[in-house]
Amino acid sequence: MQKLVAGLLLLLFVTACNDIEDCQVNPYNDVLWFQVIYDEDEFVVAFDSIVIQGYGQLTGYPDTLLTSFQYSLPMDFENEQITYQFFTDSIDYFITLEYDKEVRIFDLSCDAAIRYFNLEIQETNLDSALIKIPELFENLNNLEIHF
Amino acid sequence: MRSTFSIIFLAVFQLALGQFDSTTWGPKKWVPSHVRIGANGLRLIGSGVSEFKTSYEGMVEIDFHKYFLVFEYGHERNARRESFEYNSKGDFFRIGIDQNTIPYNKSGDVLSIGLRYAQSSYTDNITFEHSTLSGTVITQMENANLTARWMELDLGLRAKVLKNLTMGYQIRGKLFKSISGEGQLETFDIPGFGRHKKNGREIKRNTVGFDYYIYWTIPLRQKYIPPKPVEP
Repeated sequence: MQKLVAGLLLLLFVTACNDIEDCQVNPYNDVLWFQVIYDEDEFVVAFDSIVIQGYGQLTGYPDTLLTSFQYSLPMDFENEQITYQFFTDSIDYFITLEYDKEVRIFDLSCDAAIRYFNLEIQETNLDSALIKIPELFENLNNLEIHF
Repeated sequence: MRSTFSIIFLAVFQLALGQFDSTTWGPKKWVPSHVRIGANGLRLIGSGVSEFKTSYEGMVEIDFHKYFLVFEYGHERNARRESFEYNSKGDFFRIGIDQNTIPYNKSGDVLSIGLRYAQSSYTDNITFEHSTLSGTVITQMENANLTARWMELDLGLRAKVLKNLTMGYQIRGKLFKSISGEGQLETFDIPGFGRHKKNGREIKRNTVGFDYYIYWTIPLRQKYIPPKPVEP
């Protein structure tokens, strides 16, 4: 019996020795990554401006969006829905996304982390848009827009 | 993991049950001989030393032959002050049975193995500064009604120091934890259990705790302890 108790003690200590925390491995993004997919030999995709409805125009985007690149869009922490508007010289596109969010303490030495997940397209007039990964995580591509 | 511990529980109790000859204990063996009340000394000391935690805990146990019915109750408050402010506070209890594995000890010392059901009812909140589309804001979030439940496999040692004064250790294997009531804030500190996650990413369902108790024993009757049977 005493050997059994000693064995259980050892087992309990082994299960406890796995608390390794590292601020650097926070995997959560606060931006949505998207990619524009089209045939670059036939035409180019150029947005005059990208606007977040209710907030205004985003800056820093190139004139032409290349199909081989990923671009990022900021998320709205204060709501569970966001509408991005893409203005071109001919058609104005929009896409409205819904999502859930969660605040978590990743590590005491880090700032509080925000996790965005359950990303869904609520409404869009884009010809084809697809949620690739519904969680903003490790800079993976979340949204594909096809032209 | 769950089935492994189930097998361990069954094996331990089966082995322990097989060790006793119940006929030698007399007709009153199931009549309680004492009530023992205790205070968790580590929590009291920790409250004075820790920068973020305040907690206290008491317990009461009553014996039935070589078993103890145990009830433990406590309160814990955690206040983390980092780049954010996180608070959790609530009450917890554990109820279960211990078995004395050295029942023939004449001095009444106890080496116990026990099983507990544990539950913590608590609230938590966070206040943090971060960037949004509107600029830098301070956000506050709260979980108003959280419940955590888990099982415990406990090992204890209680030694008599004075006539009615006993001190002892309790090592707790806290197992199969689950939480309900979480909203948009992921909980961090669970009163009575500890941290919710082990490395920021993986949920901690099992952990180990260590407690030190000071007990006062209220005798109810004289307990007859027979001599240990000699193995052939």
